[in-house]
Amino acid sequence: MRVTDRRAITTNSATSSRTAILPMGRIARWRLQVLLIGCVLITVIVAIRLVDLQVVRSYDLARKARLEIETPVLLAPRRGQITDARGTVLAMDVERQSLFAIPPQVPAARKAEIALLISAIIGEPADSILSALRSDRQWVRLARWLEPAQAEQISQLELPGLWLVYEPRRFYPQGITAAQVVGALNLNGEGISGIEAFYDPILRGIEGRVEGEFDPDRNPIATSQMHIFPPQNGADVQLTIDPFIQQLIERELKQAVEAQNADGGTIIVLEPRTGAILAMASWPFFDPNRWQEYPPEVYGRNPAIGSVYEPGSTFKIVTAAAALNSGAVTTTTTVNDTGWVTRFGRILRNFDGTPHGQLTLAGMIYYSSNVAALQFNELTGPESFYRALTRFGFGQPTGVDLAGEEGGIVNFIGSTDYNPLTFLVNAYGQAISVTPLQMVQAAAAIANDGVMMRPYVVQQICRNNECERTQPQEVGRPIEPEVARAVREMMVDAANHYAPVIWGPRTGNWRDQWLVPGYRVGAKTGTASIPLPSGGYDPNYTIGSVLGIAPVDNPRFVVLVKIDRPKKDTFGLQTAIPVYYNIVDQLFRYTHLPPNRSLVSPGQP
Amino acid sequence: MAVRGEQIPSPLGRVRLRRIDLSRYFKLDGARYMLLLAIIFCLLSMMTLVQTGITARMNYELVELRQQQVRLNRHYSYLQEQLARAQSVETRLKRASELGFRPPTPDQIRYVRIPELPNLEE
Repeated sequence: MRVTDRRAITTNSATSSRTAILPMGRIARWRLQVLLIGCVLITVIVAIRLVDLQVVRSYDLARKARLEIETPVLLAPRRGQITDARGTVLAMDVERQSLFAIPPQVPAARKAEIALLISAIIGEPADSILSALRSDRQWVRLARWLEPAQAEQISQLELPGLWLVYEPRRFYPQGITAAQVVGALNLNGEGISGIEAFYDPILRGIEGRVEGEFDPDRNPIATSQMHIFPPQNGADVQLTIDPFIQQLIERELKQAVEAQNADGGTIIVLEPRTGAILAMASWPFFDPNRWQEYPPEVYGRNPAIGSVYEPGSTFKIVTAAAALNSGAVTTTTTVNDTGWVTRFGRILRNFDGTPHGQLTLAGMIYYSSNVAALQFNELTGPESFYRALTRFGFGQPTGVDLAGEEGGIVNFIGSTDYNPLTFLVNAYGQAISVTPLQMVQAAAAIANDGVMMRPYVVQQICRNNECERTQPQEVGRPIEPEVARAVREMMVDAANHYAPVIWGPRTGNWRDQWLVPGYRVGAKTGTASIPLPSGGYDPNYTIGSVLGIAPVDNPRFVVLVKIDRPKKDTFGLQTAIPVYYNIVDQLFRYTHLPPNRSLVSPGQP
Repeated sequence: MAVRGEQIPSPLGRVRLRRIDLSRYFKLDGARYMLLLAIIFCLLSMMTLVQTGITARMNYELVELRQQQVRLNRHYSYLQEQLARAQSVETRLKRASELGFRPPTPDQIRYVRIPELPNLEE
């Protein structure tokens, strides 16, 4: 209508049209002015906002944007695998789903129901799950590292407010097998014991990253420039541990400890020519997949290298070797074992006080005579004795590539704690602390004709298909080859002396005989007293051990069996000797070492 | 014609006259260059837009492939884990026992010495 009126006016005369347009022009101008003011206001607001964003807050906003868009995405490296000598995986990285909840997103009416469902699947108490769901937290973890089947079950339930998120986890497929050697990782992914700790920097790898611009899901925006720095995966570590020997010693140790209700025990099998540790186990075992469920002294310490004990009579082979190597004593030198002697006002005696008369070094080892041992030490002299101990590596770590090794305690001549009585009782393994591995290393030097090798447990380290093998390392020659051979012969007689423990009940023959029919095996037993913190020795319990070389002519294995505080067998020998026999017998069969049929005693198979 | 001249304002008349001269109308003087530039700019923008679209689509495909890679890696890891479990001595002993194998007794073992083979390299 307004348009029609306007046409009507404009088609009339010029005077009338001017008169008619004037009110409309005022309105239009007013509207235009309002519009203009509005535009100006909007422009001013936009300009102010623009200045605010682009100038005043420019730096902060740009920084925030950069943080959100350009924060590099970190690429986690794969931690190296740990495998045994046959390639069986002992430790590997896997991804497991963890269950999280966003409590505000879980319907209040269903919280109890959901808690019961989850509890039934993951095996956690429903109460704790319900309290987590009722908490005022925004993000709460209900279960970490679920088994794939559990995660699948939960996923199928499609419960509101619950999320399954993948998290990396170190997984030990063999569980307790060689757990003290392999070690464990803490919740931050850092090695806390064993190989995991010692080789942590090598196993860990180097983190990678992607630099560029990313969307909210952290996916790269392809139109922007991107730099990828790939992660360097950790190296794979292969151990010298033989899975069959490891399984054998773990089975034997478990049986012995359980049969005797012993407090603990250790078995080590080492190859003397190289120093490679073929098997190493200590009781109590632990499962590194669930290390938090054990006390720290179980998962954080390997008793084979980290616990010291008084070796007792097994140390007499070192005393004999030191005596022969000093030149002051020969294989025919004799001392008079009267059953007990008095030195420095103290009575020193054999374990049973029995006299054995004139004894050579072989006799001293055969009868395990304390009195003869201390007299041979007197002939050797403290300087030569402790020099030999130093060369054998006592009082210092062996340098094995495992975390947490102890050096033992030896009161060397010249040290503040040295006294002449200590020197004498050291001859039969008292007042000296050693680790099981130190004893094995010393016996390995005797087995290896006097050449002592550094014990090691890593066979090779592989990275990007390139492997670096560990080269056996000689660390000294503490004794002459002839001395080593002589001591080995003495150990054969000592082993055969204890053979009736095995064969007596089977054949009725209680005389000396071959410990392992068909083979010349050396062994020295020991019943070690346990020092008490208050002074003196434990009157009730001992540590029974056997240290042996098998076979003695071409030594392949050095074996230590140590049983702590057996409750039924006071001296521990009735326990340790059968374990030693079982291990050596099966080792020969496993390595296809043919027997010599002339080395079989009557009644033996 | 005179009436017509009065009805049409002179500037509009001039424009109309200029439009009638088509050849001059299409010459566009300096503006034609601007128009050409605008067209080129539009074309380039279109090309950029198409390229960006293609790149974005490829990016989505790439992300999808990466997610697939992660899924496959997880499955590979799971299979490795199953393999490691199956390799354990305990599992093998159990399986051997199920198949009827037993540890040999000493009298069941016969050792055969094989003479050393000649060195073929010599």
